[in-house]
Amino acid sequence: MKKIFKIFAASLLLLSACEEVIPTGLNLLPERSIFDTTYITNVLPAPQPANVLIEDFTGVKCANCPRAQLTAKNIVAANPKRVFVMGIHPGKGLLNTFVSPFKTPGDDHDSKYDFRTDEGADIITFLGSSGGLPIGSINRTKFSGESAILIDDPKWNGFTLGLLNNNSIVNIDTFSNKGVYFVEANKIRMNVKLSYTASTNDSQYISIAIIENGLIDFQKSGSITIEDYDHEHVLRRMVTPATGTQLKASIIAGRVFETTYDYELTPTETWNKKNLKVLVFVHNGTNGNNKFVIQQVKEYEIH
Amino acid sequence: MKKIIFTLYTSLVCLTYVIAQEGDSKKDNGEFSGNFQNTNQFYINDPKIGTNTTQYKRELSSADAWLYLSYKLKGYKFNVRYDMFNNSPLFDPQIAFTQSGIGIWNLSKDVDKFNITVGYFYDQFGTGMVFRAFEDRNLGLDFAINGARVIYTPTENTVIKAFTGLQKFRFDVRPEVIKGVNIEHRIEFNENTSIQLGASGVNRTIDQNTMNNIVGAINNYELKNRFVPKYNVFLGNVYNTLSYKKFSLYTEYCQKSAETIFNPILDRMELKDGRVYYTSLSYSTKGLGINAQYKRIESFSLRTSPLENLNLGMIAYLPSLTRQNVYRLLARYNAVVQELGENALGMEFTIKPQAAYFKKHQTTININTSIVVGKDNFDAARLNPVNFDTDTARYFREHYIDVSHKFNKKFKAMLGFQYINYNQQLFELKSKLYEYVTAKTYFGEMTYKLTPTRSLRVEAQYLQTKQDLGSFVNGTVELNIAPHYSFSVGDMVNVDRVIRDASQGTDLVHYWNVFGSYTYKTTRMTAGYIKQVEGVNCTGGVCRVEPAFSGVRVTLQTNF
Repeated sequence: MKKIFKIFAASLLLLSACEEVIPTGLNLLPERSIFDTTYITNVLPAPQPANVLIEDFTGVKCANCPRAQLTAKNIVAANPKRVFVMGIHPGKGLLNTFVSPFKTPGDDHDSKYDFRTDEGADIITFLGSSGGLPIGSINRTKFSGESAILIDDPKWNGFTLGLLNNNSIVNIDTFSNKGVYFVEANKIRMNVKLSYTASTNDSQYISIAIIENGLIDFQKSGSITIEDYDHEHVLRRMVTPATGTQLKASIIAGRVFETTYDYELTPTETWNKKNLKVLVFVHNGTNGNNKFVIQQVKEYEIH
Repeated sequence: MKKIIFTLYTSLVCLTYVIAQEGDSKKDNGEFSGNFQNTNQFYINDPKIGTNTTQYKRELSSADAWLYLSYKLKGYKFNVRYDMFNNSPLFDPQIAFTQSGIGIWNLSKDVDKFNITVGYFYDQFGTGMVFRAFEDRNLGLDFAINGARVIYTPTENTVIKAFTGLQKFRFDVRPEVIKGVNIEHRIEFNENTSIQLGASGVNRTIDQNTMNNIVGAINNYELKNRFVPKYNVFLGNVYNTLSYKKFSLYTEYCQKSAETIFNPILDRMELKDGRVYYTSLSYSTKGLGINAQYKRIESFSLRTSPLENLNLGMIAYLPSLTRQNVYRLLARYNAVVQELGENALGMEFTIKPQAAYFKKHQTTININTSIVVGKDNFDAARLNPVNFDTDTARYFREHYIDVSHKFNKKFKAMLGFQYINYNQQLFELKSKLYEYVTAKTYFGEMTYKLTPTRSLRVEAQYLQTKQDLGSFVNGTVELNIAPHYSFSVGDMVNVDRVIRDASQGTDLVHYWNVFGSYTYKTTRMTAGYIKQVEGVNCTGGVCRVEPAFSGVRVTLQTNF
């Protein structure tokens, strides 16, 4: 009996000593906003048509991912300025077979870049996780007949088209003359204005992502590896926490948020500044079937 | 719907099995039992006593019912309970909840020294401070676990339990996984001395969706208040009952790993570990029973998730050391156990004088005293029983005495006094307008046997306070006609009112009731016109604030 008690106590101690991962989306860093204000206006702007964000979870060693990227590219081409894409290569060891660069022993090639981000891992975990790639979300919506938010690329076009006829409850614009620009050589300033044209009881979040186009590097495609594949819309960094920052005020028609964010590139972030863009999107964040739905998305050049 | 289909399917499989087995054995025909409970309420608005829930404005009536069926055959046991709630205020007095269906079901089987249960089950480890799955219909609580449990009894002195499952929430389950293991072992050294040792381990894992919500909330805190929440919390306890002759000493220590808990004082979540120390010493001899208890709680809140509060999602049950009063006015002020921290001390004496005169008249004296103070406020000045200063750090204090005496075969009486200190702002989340309550209650009861089958019982209480709603008088006259009937009429009057809102008027407020019951074998029916004051309803330290009630209540309860 004594033995059983000892084994019991030791098991408890061992279990409680186990380390856990830091939960997805937890932000322990200072906010990157340097100015923010909110007010209510009596003059409601006309609602913007609701745009669509395709979050394409992808990897350089994923043989079918170029097919999904082509699907997304065609949707964007058919709906200019209405559909945007974010290519997400999850980090944190998730889906490593598909996303790790061609640098590991045994690889025939040596990737120039490592596109993986921790934020990418947080986002895919937040949206439901997946055992394989390619997979994606269309405005983070769980569509009727689908069991998950993350869906296969052949369905992206149909679901995207179905969302393009709606108006958004929130307009995304920039304020001040410059909008989104390099305030210093390595510092991006983003003046974002959100204007609600309708009320909602769902708590609202803003997410801002820096993406990069024109990254030429290896990519597996079917049974071959393309040496000079053009990687587009690659998520480089989330300016907000990966799962967004909550908008802390009641959301009623006429509610306006104006926020200025600064992001300073670190010495290791030697990105091609000319190819950088900023994606701003507003989404839900409460329980229920529409907990992650993106309300509106806009993409900005950096001047 | 899937669950109902699954349950019905399971029932069908069971019954099919039972029928199939009938051919094998004619001796064991099984045993069928069950019970039924039904409460119907009809609401009659009375703004004077503050009736303000939705049922008075819209639904006007509500009904709750539970039908429990149990069937035993050849070591198998199948239980199912049908629950019905129509416009029920049971789960939340401010809403009318309507749903019905299979509340719980389970199937269990004894296999050698094992008992295996799948489905919903109730259980607890030790006193329940690390795990208790229980039901309290009066408080609208049902913390059954839906999962699997194995109980192994290797010897008659040893019991090992293990389970895993999800906590029931109305007709669904909560997403957090709970698992636990418990060992109890009894050693009898000789006829005077024995110990009963126990130890438990419990783990709760938060699901990703709930964690997303926790993270979302933490991200909104000031940077200095943010922390890394844990998916898992681990609890363990060790306990022992030492019995030596007429003494019994119970000790228990519970420890909880750091997890996210909600701190209502800070109005935010924080990462805290916790512990409970509990001991109870009792002594019993002819004419005298003594029980003393001490409990210290340090941040020991355990729910399915920190997003649940009050009586929702409770996994750990922290018992109260304060007296469970029965009389209406004596039970007006109750100490809700403070999970974030408290020191509680309780002592009870039951004295039956052994002199021939008192023995003949069955004279009994009950004395009880208890005090609950903050985690760091346990000092001699506050514990001093004759220090009557108003001190809000004393969350609760009670001095109680009653003396009962049987004068002759027909007449017996009881008289008593209760003194209460009560931090109403803390226990009932009242505003600062509600001052610290000091109440004195004088009470008595007399029973007179009119005939061998008829008796008349009269009870009366006078609660004297200048705080809360003010003073009350309560009286009840009850006629019992054995074995079937009981009738009573009573009134509780707010005689010395504290007026906070001029719209309440200055008239005397009566909370009167008329009640009748009929009992036949195992069936009891009651009907009453009731006016009930707003207050805290508690069972064993688990409490809820209940709004005032005015209306008719009809109940039926039967066992078969």
